[in-house]
Amino acid sequence: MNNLLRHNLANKNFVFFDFETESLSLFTARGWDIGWSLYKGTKLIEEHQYFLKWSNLKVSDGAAKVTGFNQNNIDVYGKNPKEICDLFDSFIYNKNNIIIGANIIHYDIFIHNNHRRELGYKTDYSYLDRIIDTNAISKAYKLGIKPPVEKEDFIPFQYRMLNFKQKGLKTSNSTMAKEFGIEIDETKIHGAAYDIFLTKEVFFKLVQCVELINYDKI
Amino acid sequence: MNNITPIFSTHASLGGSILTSEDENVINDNSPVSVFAIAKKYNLPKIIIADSSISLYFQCYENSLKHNIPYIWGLKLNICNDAADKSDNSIKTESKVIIWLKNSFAYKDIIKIYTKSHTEDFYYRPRTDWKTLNNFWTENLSLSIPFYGGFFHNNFFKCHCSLPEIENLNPSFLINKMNLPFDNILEDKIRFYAKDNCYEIINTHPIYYYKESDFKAYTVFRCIHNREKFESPNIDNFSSNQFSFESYLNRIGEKIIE
Repeated sequence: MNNLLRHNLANKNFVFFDFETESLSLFTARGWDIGWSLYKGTKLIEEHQYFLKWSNLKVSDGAAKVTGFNQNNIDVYGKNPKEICDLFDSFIYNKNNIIIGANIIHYDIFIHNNHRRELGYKTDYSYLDRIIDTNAISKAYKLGIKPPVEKEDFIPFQYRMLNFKQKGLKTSNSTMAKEFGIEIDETKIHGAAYDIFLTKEVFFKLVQCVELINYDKI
Repeated sequence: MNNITPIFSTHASLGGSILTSEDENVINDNSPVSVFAIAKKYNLPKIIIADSSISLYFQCYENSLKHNIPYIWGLKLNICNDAADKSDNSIKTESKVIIWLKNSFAYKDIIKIYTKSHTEDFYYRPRTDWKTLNNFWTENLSLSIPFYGGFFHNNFFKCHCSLPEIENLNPSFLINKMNLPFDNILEDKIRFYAKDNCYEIINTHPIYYYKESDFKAYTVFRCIHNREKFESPNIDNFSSNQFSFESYLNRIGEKIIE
């Protein structure tokens, strides 16, 4: 919490989000499970988790096994994708919100775009400059690299971190959670709601270790 | 007003395009599309082709003469800081350039660069270095720095350390708008640098397939080339179907002719 106060993050809004998807295709994959949580500082304001009732979902057997996909859940509990995507967009495009996720720059933002395209909306990555990717920051933390101070350099920095490969450098949510002493329930990993919880826990540990940009500039 | 320059790649760019440079007049739904068929159908004043192999250069030349369509040809090439450095670190100094042939004399010049890049300087893939490029440079050639894969993109977004030596090469910088998330950020950086150093900027549209709906076929092609699956192509930022001729037409306010 000390780091949050120093960088005035205690009064900032954070939106953590995650998708569980049909596949790893950045152009075709749709999310069937979407979750997001809104925090003010470390205080949870509201949380959302929905199954999306897209037509003709195609989840491979391997993906279904890893993510716990169950078509019955979609059939019974699935919501209208347009309704949920519009609600989600109201959080993502709110300029007061800092958007946080694990590896979202390389993956989830494209899934979000796939949803928008399927619903007839235009591509809009304008929230990119409000994103913090915990995978990128975890790499910076482990490599001892200080993120740039200027906001305009922060996104390219995160891209560079995400593209940096080093043997043995592991920065997944579960790896970082274990290193930070956060208890993990392995049975719940790869569910959107739990992955968001882990991302949130990892992020609030990271801000205590890594000096992030001056968020007063956002 | 159309101030966007379409730049085609053909199947000569191995794994890079599903367009061909074959002698074709018409576009069929069930066969590969030739850039010359596109040029015929849409009355393009000229075709600009950038490929990573010179193997089909003469096919382009012959078909250009046959169809009476002027063409400009460029070689896409990887450039590193020091080609003698055969280490993984040197891969992180690589970036792409396009070397344009300004006239028929340029072929002899480009062959020297091409030969060295495919033999002495080769490391996992054809490449050369800035020193070689400068040594072999002539007034018959001109240089462009592509938007994706150029040294700006690689240094800012890919953790590369490319140290370009371009002062004597007077390159132009190509700007694209292909619906990738970082397009605006990259464009701002390139425009700032180009303006500061008085380099020309050209708005372009790279084209690797005909229609937006051909993206699926293009994906399959890329996956086969990369030995990956359609459900997980494992290609960074492979999220846009805008690298099509149809998308180019949409940008200039026109439509595909069915």
